[in-house]
Amino acid sequence: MLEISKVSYSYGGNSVFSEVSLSVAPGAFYFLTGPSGSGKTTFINLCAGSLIPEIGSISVFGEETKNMTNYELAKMRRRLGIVHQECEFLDHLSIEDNIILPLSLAGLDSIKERANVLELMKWVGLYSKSKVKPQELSGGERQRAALARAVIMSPDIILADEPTGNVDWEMSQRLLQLLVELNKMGKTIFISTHDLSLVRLAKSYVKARTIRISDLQLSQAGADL
Amino acid sequence: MRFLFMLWKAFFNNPDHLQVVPNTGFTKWLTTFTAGAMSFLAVVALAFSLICSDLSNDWGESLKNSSLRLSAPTDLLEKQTKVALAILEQTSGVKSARLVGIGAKKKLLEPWLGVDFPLEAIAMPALIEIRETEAGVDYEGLRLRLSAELPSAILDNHAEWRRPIEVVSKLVSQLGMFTVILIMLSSIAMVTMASNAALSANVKVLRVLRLVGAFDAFIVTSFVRIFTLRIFLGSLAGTVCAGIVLLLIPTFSENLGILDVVSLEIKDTIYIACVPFLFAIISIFATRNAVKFSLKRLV
Ligand SMILES: Nc1ncnc2c1ncn2[C@@H]1O[C@H](COP(=O)(O)OP(=O)(O)OP(=O)(O)O)[C@@H](O)[C@H]1O
Ligand SMILES: [Mg+2]
Repeated sequence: MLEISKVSYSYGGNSVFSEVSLSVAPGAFYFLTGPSGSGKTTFINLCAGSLIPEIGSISVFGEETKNMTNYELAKMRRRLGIVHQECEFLDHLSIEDNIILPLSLAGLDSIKERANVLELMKWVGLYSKSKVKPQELSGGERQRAALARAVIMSPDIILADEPTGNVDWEMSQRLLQLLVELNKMGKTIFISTHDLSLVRLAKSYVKARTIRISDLQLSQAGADL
Repeated sequence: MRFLFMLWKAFFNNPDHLQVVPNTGFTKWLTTFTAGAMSFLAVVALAFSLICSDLSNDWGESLKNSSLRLSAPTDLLEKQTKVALAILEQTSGVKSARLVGIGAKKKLLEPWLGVDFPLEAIAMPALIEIRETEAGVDYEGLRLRLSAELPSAILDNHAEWRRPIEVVSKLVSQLGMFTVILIMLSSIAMVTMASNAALSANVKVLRVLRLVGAFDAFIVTSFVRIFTLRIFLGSLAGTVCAGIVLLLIPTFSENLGILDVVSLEIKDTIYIACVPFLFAIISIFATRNAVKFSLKRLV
């Protein structure tokens, strides 16, 4: 469902990685690891269609991002749950409205869905903050809200860039729990992280695969740790 | 047709989506004020230009004719009038010559003498209206002949002082039109800059909307709706202010007796009423291009 083949990317001549290939299996749980600056964010942005590879190809749900129109890219993103490293929101809307935004855009903002949103907010521990504006949240709260927004459309793949970057260990565990649960529901999880203890913990719940960008450039698929 | 559909979509087809574009911030007042100020200037310039062009038309029309005045005792007047008409008939360049009746005279003098003035009671000079052909009348020749045959006749040649007035008022109204065009062009520039400025304060909104899967068309429409509403309301306020100022001018000039000439005709008010809509259309295109451009550059 996510096919990366021989992708090279560079920012104005500064190569980030070259000839990266990976085939993401449906329903699997992936950790993308690597040192800062190794290109994790770039990789996720390529998968989300925010960046288009110059060399190589990326196909999502069987279609190459290179060939998609903006309209098709938007439709594709509705089937992806994307969490960016710097969790951005619409600052003039409440957290609840921000989380419901993808539904609203898809014309699915209903009372029943609102109830589900509150349920979801309870789960990520933001129930009491539903009417609060994004800029009044802490870094960890923002990440939880961003994850809630990413899963609201019940996407097939969740692409998350450092989703536990700003939260303490206890909250990391809770977020992981949520991701594991989503994985058990059949969703593909693809997250980047530098937190190896989180990776270890995940492996006690699910069969998670760890991928290093440097490895992807040499061999084909990610080896199990 | 596609444009009308777009217009309709932008303003009336607002599904119960969340308000994705923030309707706050200093850029809101920046755009509204800019639109208002530019509209005010545009309306004032437009009004003066229209007034001048009306004036030049009016004067051109009413001064097209020259006239011949004959003063004589009542019994002689009729005879002299006949002679004058006969002379005029023989003069080349005279299209028609007509004796002005008492009713028309009354109307002519009404602004000075009032409605009820008993014009019949006083000895009035006879007034002959002369219409010229395109070629024009040889006034020197006519004047010479009249001085010989009808010394009491006074020939008023309006053309002599009509020409410079026409030239000047045409120049002024052309200058006014030039100003209007300049103001409109700078309005386009200002509105474009204002919507670009407002947009760069909202790049984050564009990024978030892209992230959550908003279609570009939806993003464009959302921005166009908010920005155009701002521009339209600002422009409407500027136009109304300018309109009030223009309405006050004839009240001041009432004592000058030129009330009719410096006020706007109905077709002029229609032109002026178009200004806010023109600004709205400028805004639709400016915002649309600005959003599309920003989306293209977005990572
Ligand atoms: N917009 C950009 N323009 C130019 N260079 C960039 C840009 N974004 C990233 N880079 C460069 O590309 C490389 C990879 O960046 P990237 O953000 O993908 O790394 P990362 O693995 O996500 O790092 P971190 O763990 O710190 O988030 C870095 O060297 C960075 O300097
Ligand atoms: Mg990163």
